[in-house]
Amino acid sequence: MKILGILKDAIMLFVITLVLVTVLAFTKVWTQQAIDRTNLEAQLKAFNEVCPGYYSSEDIVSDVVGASAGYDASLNGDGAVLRCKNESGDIIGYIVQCTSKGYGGPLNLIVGFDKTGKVTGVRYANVPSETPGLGMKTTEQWFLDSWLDHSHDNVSEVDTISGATISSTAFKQAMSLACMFASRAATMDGGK
Amino acid sequence: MGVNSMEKDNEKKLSFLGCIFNGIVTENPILILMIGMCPTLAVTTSVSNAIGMGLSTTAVLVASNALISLVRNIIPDRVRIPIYIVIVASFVTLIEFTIKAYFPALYESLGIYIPLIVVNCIIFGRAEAFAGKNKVIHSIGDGIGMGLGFTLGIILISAIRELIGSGSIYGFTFVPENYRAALFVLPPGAFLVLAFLTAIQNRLNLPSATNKKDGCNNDCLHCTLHKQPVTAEEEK
Amino acid sequence: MEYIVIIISAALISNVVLSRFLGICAFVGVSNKVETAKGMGAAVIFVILIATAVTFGINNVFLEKNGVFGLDLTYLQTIAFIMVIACLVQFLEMFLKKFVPALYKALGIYLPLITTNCAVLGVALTVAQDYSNFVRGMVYALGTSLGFCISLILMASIREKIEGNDIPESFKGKPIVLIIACLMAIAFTGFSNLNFG
Repeated sequence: MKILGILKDAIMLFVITLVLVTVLAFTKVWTQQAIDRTNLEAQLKAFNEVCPGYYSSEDIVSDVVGASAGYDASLNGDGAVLRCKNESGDIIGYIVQCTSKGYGGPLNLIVGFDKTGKVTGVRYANVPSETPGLGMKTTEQWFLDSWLDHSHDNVSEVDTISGATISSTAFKQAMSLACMFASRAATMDGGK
Repeated sequence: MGVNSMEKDNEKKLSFLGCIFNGIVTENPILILMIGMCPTLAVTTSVSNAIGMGLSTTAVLVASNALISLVRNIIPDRVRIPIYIVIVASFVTLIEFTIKAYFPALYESLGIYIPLIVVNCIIFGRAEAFAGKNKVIHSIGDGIGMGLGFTLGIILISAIRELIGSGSIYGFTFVPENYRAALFVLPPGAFLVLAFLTAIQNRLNLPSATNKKDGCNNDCLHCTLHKQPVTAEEEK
Repeated sequence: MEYIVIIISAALISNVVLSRFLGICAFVGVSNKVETAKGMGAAVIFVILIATAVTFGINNVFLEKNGVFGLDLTYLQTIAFIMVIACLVQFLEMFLKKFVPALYKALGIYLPLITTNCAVLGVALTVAQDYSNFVRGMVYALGTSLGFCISLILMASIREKIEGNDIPESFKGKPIVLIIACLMAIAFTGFSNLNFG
């Protein structure tokens, strides 16, 4: 009798869980398309803002990140480089997506460069979880614009924001990393 | 015990609108019951975050209250707590998908606090104290009321923090840069604002969990899974 | 060295209670006495470590795409983890009661209260999402739970000290606890300028 009761409870719990998980699985499939579309749209929009042109997945510069590893170990972070081409397929610049650790979590940047490795635009890949009023100042346009036209040689001269030291230092690290990747990519393509 | 059962009777007699009013004013979860403190403090750095969090929590609360009330007569009493957990966690995941798909900026700024709606005391507290014992329509009313009460409470706190800390409300700037106190948008500011709000309530002798032994008896842990060990004892 | 940095960063720099606001309920509710705070702190360390280990395993074996089902089931993390934590706490209670009665006596009354402690679920989710290395994840869990323990015991000690103090009538009870928490949080922000190079 007692075992029967426990069995009944267990079956009930199992059935309810199964029903709910099935509902979740269907919703997952249904919203996944919307999530993917939102992400892709946001990414393409950011790409077009920092370096207008044409991009394809074949244009990922695969060996630059590996070649730069150990190049400057003080820059902890990760990144990927994408070639940006014009209509006729000539390289007009590079887009670097890179990550660094901020105060509230990772900072994901999308940085555009011209083919000599100068910054043409900076965007956040997603809204960072920094402190409003302090670290969030790194998302303001004037700060993003202060990096324009800098390259691997003089990126260290850009000022960080006083009071938002952790976030803007993390930002600077990500930018240094991006500039390094871009200059490596430019050197590699130039050498071909 | 007598007081408790009287309160239960009162709750049952409330109409649909009465349930909503009860949640927003009489038993406001933030200002009167003082439960669900983690999101109250964590996401109130800006009004827009607070609105997002408040409405997500309201949606979960209404949906889980409705479903729990609907199945309350067919689920065995001994496994009701795990069933509540599964129901609430499922709705939280649904909300998470929705926010991720249609409000990506909000998803980024709320981060891990979205899945943590699961352990918000308000939701389990209302499931156990109200939805498991009342009709569907009243449970929905209670969910709407408690959810909106929660939303208004955190909007109030976030408005104070955003105004003093970043000089704006909902992104509209009011205070020039030199007159802002950044402390208020940093973690200590959350504690400070809540401390002063409760102190003002005490001063004005308003009903609240701090000066009256009601609601969750000053400790939100006790209005949620507290009953779980009791059911475990009963099994013997 | 790397592990020390993880521990210090999780315990002090982004303290789970004072800067991430997880586990506030227990922080305010169970900090009346140092003795109780110690018990609760120990129970939380215990549960967080076990829960993180178990949820990490479940995540990698069942939910990740390269797990036994070959499907990306990570969207079930919330639902699976909260159930696992709830069950775990129950099992732990029964196990300790039967086999380690001394430990049960010390931790027993706090165990059931831990299920709704959002620090436990928070750590489990963070580790599952951000840490692919088991040892590093566990070190992070240890650091976080130590941070919880430290702030809880500090709070309890301060509250014992101010017990007979002349506090304004309106600030008695919860407000003064929140003011203390505020001052502790200010003190803890000092750690954020630690630089590990």
